[in-house]
Amino acid sequence: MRTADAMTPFLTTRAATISLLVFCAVYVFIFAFGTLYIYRLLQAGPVGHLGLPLIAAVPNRPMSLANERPGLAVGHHVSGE
Amino acid sequence: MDTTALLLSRLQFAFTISFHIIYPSFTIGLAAWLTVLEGLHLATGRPAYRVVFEFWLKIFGVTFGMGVVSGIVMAFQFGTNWSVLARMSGGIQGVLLSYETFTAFFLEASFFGILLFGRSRVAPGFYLFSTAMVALGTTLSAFWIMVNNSWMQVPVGYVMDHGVAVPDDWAAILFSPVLWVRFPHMLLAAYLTGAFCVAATGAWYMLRQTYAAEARIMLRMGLFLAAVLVPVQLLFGHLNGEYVVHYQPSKMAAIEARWKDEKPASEVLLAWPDVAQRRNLFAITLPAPLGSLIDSDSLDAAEVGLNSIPPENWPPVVIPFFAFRIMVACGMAMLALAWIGSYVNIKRRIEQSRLLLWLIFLSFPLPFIAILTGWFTAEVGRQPWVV
Repeated sequence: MRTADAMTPFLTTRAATISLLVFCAVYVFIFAFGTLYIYRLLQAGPVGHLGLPLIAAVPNRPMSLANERPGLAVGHHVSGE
Repeated sequence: MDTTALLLSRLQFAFTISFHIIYPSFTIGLAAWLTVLEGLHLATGRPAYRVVFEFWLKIFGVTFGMGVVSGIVMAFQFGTNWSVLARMSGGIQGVLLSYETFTAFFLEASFFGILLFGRSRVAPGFYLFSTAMVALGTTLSAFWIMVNNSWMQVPVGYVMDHGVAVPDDWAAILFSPVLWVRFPHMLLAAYLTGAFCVAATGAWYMLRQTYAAEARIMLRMGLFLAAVLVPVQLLFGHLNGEYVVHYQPSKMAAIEARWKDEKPASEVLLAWPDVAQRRNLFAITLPAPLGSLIDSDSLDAAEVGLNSIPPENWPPVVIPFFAFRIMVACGMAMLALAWIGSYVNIKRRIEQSRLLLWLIFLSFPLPFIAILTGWFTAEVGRQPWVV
């Protein structure tokens, strides 16, 4: 099967343009923040608080893993570093 | 049929899939490495392994999340933009994607929770088991995707019934010879990505003179793994080339920018392929039989040129030609860095060689570029066919 024949036949240029733009915007948004998170984790470096669980992290907000430094009280945000 | 919509749909799929592959290729390698670290920590009791583990686990978590987010929306495009393909091949590709969900995603989702929040809640042995299960999950995910893509590259084990591909031999699909060179190639690429990111982070900390013990572990393990795996990867890359010669001669002709049939063939090292005139400009060419030797392991094998393929069946030439060469160049640079770095590290001089540390630090994009250009070669070279 050719790629040209695989496309949805009634797909319009307008629909394809809109979805491509939305995809680009959402991806840029998500991945900019993801990269920022990873960069902050790398900057913070490994921390040697052994035996302590990741107390700042709570299972119902998984991304809190990247947000807080272990050992800090829950909800204590350190911003602007 | 709307050709602009077609171009935009292809752009959209290329964009989402290129973005997506960055994350799994990192997490597959990282998950396996986390398992090794946790095993080492249990076996030796050295706290530094545990510190490194906790550190990379957090990064794994974020990367994993982005991999899932970018992967899920990708599959929707089969329904929205490529519904004719979905109707034709859904009996095979849809089934394979469900297997991925059943095996890989369920394993990953269940045990990843234990990894993040279960350290103080489960026994150490079970924690190690959970790490291994997450690693197995990521590997299985790669496996099903590679089965899927290998079937699109070289379809086997099906019959056409009223325009629908009906699977009649799952064993042939799962044990396709193409799959068993492509899956290891992807898996090794993922391990190398993990290895180089870890080594680069270690080199970065060493340059900043922080976290010395952890940096040493990262640098040593990353470089050593890469030093062992890059040669294996080059071998599998070569085996991949053999299946392309056999099943996809037009892709091979495009990769090599070979216009005429040659026997034995020469090898174009670097050139600017001029598609309109069917010739290469500024070509640096190695004489025959090097082309036959590289493509077919033989001194006198005949190699197909684009001139003997109808132009409407040609893939684009320029993209596979250059993407392939960039991939190989990245591979060679990684080989040099891994071997030199490991050697200097064994001699215990790596902390003094700041230039080498800088090079290793700056090398982390190399595996990603190699993976992206490798996939560009595979997918653009397959055109104009989707299956």
